[in-house]
Amino acid sequence: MDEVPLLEVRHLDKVYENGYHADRDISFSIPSGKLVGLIGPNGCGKTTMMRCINKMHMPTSGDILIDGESVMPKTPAEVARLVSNVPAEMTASFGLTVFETVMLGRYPYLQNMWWETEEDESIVVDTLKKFGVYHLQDRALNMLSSGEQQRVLIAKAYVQNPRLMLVDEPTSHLDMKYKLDVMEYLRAMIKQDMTILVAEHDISLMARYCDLCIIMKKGQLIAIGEPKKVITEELIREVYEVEASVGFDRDGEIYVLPKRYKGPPEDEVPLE
Amino acid sequence: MPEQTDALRGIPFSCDKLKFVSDIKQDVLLSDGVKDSVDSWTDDISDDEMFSDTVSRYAKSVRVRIAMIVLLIVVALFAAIYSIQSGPLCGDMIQTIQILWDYMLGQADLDDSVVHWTLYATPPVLGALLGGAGLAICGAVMQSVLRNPMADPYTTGISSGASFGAALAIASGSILVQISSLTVLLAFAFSMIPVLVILLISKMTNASPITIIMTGIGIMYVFNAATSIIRLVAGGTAMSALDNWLMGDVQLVQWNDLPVMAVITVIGVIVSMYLASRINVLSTGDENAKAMGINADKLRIICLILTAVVSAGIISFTGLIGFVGLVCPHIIRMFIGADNRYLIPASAAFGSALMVVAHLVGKMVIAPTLVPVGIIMACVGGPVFIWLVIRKNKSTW
Ligand SMILES: Nc1ncnc2c1ncn2[C@@H]1O[C@H](COP(=O)(O)OP(=O)(O)O)[C@@H](O)[C@H]1O
Ligand SMILES: [Mg+2]
Repeated sequence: MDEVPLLEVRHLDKVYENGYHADRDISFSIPSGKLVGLIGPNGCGKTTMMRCINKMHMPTSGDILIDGESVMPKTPAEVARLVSNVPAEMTASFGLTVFETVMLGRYPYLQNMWWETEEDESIVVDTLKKFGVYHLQDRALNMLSSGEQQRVLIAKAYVQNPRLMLVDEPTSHLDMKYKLDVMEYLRAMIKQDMTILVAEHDISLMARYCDLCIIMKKGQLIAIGEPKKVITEELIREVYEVEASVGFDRDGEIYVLPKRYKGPPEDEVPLE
Repeated sequence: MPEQTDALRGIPFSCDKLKFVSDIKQDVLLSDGVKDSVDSWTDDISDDEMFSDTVSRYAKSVRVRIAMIVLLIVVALFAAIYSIQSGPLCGDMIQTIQILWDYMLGQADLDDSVVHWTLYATPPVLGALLGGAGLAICGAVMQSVLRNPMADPYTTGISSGASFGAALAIASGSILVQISSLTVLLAFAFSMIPVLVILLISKMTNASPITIIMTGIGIMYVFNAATSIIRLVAGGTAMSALDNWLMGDVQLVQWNDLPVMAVITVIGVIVSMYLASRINVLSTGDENAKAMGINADKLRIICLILTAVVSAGIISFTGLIGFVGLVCPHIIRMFIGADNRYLIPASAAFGSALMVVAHLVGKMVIAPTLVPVGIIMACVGGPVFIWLVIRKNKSTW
């Protein structure tokens, strides 16, 4: 059963132009149809890695394979049909409507890069309904609430019909209902044969919804595996330098409760 | 019995309230709304009767937009013909069209006085038609690719570069014969300097849109200062000639200038329309554009060079004309939206119509004195624009 993994990252290294070594020798692979959480402290290189995966940045060394094929020789347009991206924030531009914004996701498929076909239109309509933003279609994107905006951006990535979707901190501005909302949508897309890599800080939420968790620290891969196996008190102490209790609720769902900061690094002066 | 109170809020405790709270809790935990909508994913949504309704609704909105563009083009052309025939000693509109047609085919009877005066009145009007279109698309494209509602040939330094070139040419005019074409040449040459500086800075620092605008504004101050110095040093007739140029007027346009203006404008419209859907993607951010397979930096530079050449080409012939480039795209966005595939042609047509009408009004308002188009547009358009900005909500930018 040597099934080809959907995404394989091989010895990925990324050094920025200013010399900052953001990702160090990261290797892992994920099978098709999984929701994969990417967890790690701020600045540990999550966004950098995602940008390397869809070739937004060129990796300094290493290789990225999707369905067993390297993305390196592919053109940007080809990559855009394989990987879509929900950025952490999107500049709302000059009042493009929700419909037009989602339609932008069809861009990599447009004939002559110009006119959308009726098929594109029906895909967009279909998707707007799926994500419950159909009634907002004529509104400007920047007139929506954060939760609605997030749905629209995910819908846009969805109509791109990718093999792999990269979602960067989708719930950072959302209340708990909308957080669950986003995760439910991600799970629903998994059922439609997409694979999703989502970077997120809410570990409890990740543990509950993800099939796999990837843990990073300072540009390195610390662990990859099933949430319940990977997320432990030791791991959180190791990665975040924070004391937390990891427990299970009545339904057997894992939760993480941060308790106490271990203390400032030695070279910092503690507050009185 | 002692009254129980909610410890946190100090509100009397009541059963109604408790029920309310527990309702909310359930909603949060089950997240019902989402579950329902996600569960229905497997249903065949295309059977929904709303479905065909919306496809046609979008198609309808496209048709409305195209109709508006056609209407604007017709208005612009009509205004142009009307403006030409309103000149002294000209014929009626049909005659005007006939004369222009014959002239294009090289069959016009140049000895006829009506023909003579019609052809005399034509270049400024065609200059307004072409100039308005060119400047308006420059504004639309610059605003989208720099993601800044203030972007136009002024804030990117192009206009001030052109002014400086024109000032040099006019100040040295006393010793040179071909003043007019030297003005055009120098204005164009110097308007390329801001573009080169911006390109250089982009190459060096991966400049963001905001850096580009700030650079443009910096360049604008330097060139404006230099222009003022020349104006002071030159004095006299050169000074008033320069002031004329700085006020900007299509009245300066000659028959010889029109082919160049036409080529520049047509190329500008065609190329920017060709790039329009790419510009749409770029207008939602570099990261998004790159994720869609678009080289954001390259596209932005191509668009900047294109708009620089178009606006510089027009300004060199007409003198400084502001307002159209900045304002037309904003007004059009309020009515047909931000999709550049419609915004660009609509802005072009609207810019043409606006310039032609402004020129017409300028001819009539205190005749026989000609008031430059720039002044008319600013006087009338400024307040109208402010009114529109206040009336419409902020969603357009
Ligand atoms: N364009 C860049 N140039 C230089 N350094 C960068 C750039 N982008 C990010 N970094 C640095 O790389 C590190 C990792 O950033 P990032 O991948 O965004 O982290 P995360 O998404 O995990 O919070 C950070 O320390 C950041 O300062
Ligand atoms: Mg990040």
